[in-house]
Amino acid sequence: MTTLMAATVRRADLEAILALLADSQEYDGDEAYPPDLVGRFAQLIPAAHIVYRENDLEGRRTPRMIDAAGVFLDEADEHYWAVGPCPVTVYRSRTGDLSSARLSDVVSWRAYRETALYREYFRPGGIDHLLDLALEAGGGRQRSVLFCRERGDRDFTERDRAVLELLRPHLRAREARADLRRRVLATTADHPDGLAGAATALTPREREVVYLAGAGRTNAEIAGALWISPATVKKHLENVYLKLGVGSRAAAASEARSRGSVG
Amino acid sequence: MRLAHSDLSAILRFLSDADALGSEEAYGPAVRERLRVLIPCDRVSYEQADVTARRFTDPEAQLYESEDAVYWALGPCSITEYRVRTGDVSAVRMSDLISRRRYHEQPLYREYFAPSGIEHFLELGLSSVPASYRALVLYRGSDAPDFSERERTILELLRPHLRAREARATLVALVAGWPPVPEDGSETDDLQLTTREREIVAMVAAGKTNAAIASELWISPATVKKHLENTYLKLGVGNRAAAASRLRAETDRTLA
Repeated sequence: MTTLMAATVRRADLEAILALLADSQEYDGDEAYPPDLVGRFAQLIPAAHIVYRENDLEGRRTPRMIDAAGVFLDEADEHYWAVGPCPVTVYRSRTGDLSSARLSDVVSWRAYRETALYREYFRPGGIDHLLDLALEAGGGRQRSVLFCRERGDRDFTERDRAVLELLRPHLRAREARADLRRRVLATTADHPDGLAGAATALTPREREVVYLAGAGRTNAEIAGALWISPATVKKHLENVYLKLGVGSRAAAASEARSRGSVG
Repeated sequence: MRLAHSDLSAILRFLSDADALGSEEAYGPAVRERLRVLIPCDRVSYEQADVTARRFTDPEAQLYESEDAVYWALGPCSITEYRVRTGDVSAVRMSDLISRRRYHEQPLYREYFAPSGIEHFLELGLSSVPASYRALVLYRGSDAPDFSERERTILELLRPHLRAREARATLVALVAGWPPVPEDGSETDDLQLTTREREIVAMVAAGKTNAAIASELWISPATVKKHLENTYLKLGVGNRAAAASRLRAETDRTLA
C-alpha cells in the first residue's frame, strides 16, 4: 500500500482524506453509509454518480442501495440483473480480490462495449467508467462503493484507486461502529427498563448540544458556539445516543424534544 | 459470546473518548489509560518486537532495556510463540494456550513475570510476522482474577477501530512530514483535468453560458454543471471565473 501511495498520492490527497474523516463524524449514526456521506465522497473522487450497493449474487437482486438521494431497500433493479452482473463483480467472484478496481482493469474496452450490460444498461445511462471499492461480505453477497463517470469524462486514475485503498480501514471502522450502535439499540428494545431513569437524563451540556444539532448546526459550528472541541461535541452526542436509545442526530433531537429535555 | 447492553455502550463510550484524545498517536498513554477503564487491569502496553532478532522495537523499549534482556533470554512468552507458529492474531489469554501448572513451571514465569507481579495476560495481536510482531497487552497480578471471556470479546471488538486509529495516525504523520507546498503553487502544474473539462472551462472563459456550452457540445446543461463542479474541486476554486483564470494561469506557465 505504501508503495502504491508514494507513487501516486500527494499531500493534498492525504489532507482531503483527513478532511473527509473529520467531516464524516457529522454523519455518524446507525447507518455506516448515510446518503450525505455517499454524496460527500464526490469531493474526494469526483464522479457523476456514487452508490453504495449490496448485491445478492444467487438471488440476482440488490437488497440495499444508497446514493446521495437516499436509501433504497430491495430494489429489484431487474434491468441490471437481466444483463448483469458487471465485469468487476464477476472478477471479484472469480478471484476473491477485494482491492479497488476500475472497469478498465478487468475488461478491455473492446470486449466491454460488446456486452449486453453496456449496450442496454450503462450506455443508455451515459456511464462509461466505473471504479469499485469492494467491502467485506459473506454468503454469496458482494458489497461495494461504486463510483461512476460519464462518457467524455476521463477514466479513474491510479491516484483515485490509491485514495480509496487509504479510505478502506476507516470505512471498516465506520461499519463496525454503526453495527455496535444497532446492537445497542436492539438490546435497549429487549429491555425497555434496562436503563435507569438517572442514566437517561441529559446533562445541561448535552441538552445544549442536542438543541444545536437539531437546529442543523454541524459539530464544528456547535464546537465554535460552545467553546469546546469538535471531538468533545461528538462525545456528547454519542452519550446522548446511548441515553436516548437512538442512532442519529436527527433522531436524538426529535426524541429529546418529545421527552421535553430540549425546548 | 453475546455482550450486554452495558458492555456495548461502554465500547461506544471508549471509542468516542479515544477520538477526543486526538489521532497523532494510535496507542498513546492516554488511550491506553482509557482502555484500562474499559477492561480493568494493572497495565496496558503496546508492544512491538523483532522476534527473530529477539528484541523489542517499540518507542518505550529503551526504558526497560535491562529487564527486556531477561525476557528475551528466557522467552518469548507462549502467546508470542503461538502467534508466530499459527499466524492467529485473535485476542487470547495466557490461560487459553497453556495450563496454569505448565505456565508456573516456565523459567520465564518464575524469573520474570512472577517477580514483576504479573500473572494474567490478555493480548490482542496486531501482527504475527516475526520481524514486526505487534500487540496490545493487558496485564493483571495474582491478586486479581483472570480475564473473562466477556473481556476477551470486548477487546476483539476493538480491532477495526484500532486499525483505523493506526491508519489515521499514519496519515497525520505523513502530512506533517511532507515537504511544504511551494508558495508559487507549482504543485498544481498538472491539473489533471479531463479533455472535456478543459474544453468546458475554455468555453466558460470565453464568456459562454452553461446552456450555450451544452448545445454546442451536445450534452445536457446538467452535465455541464456537473463537469464544472468537478473542475472546481480539482482546481480548488469556488466559481466559474476563478476556474477560467486558474486554467489560463496554468496555460501561460506551460507556454512560458
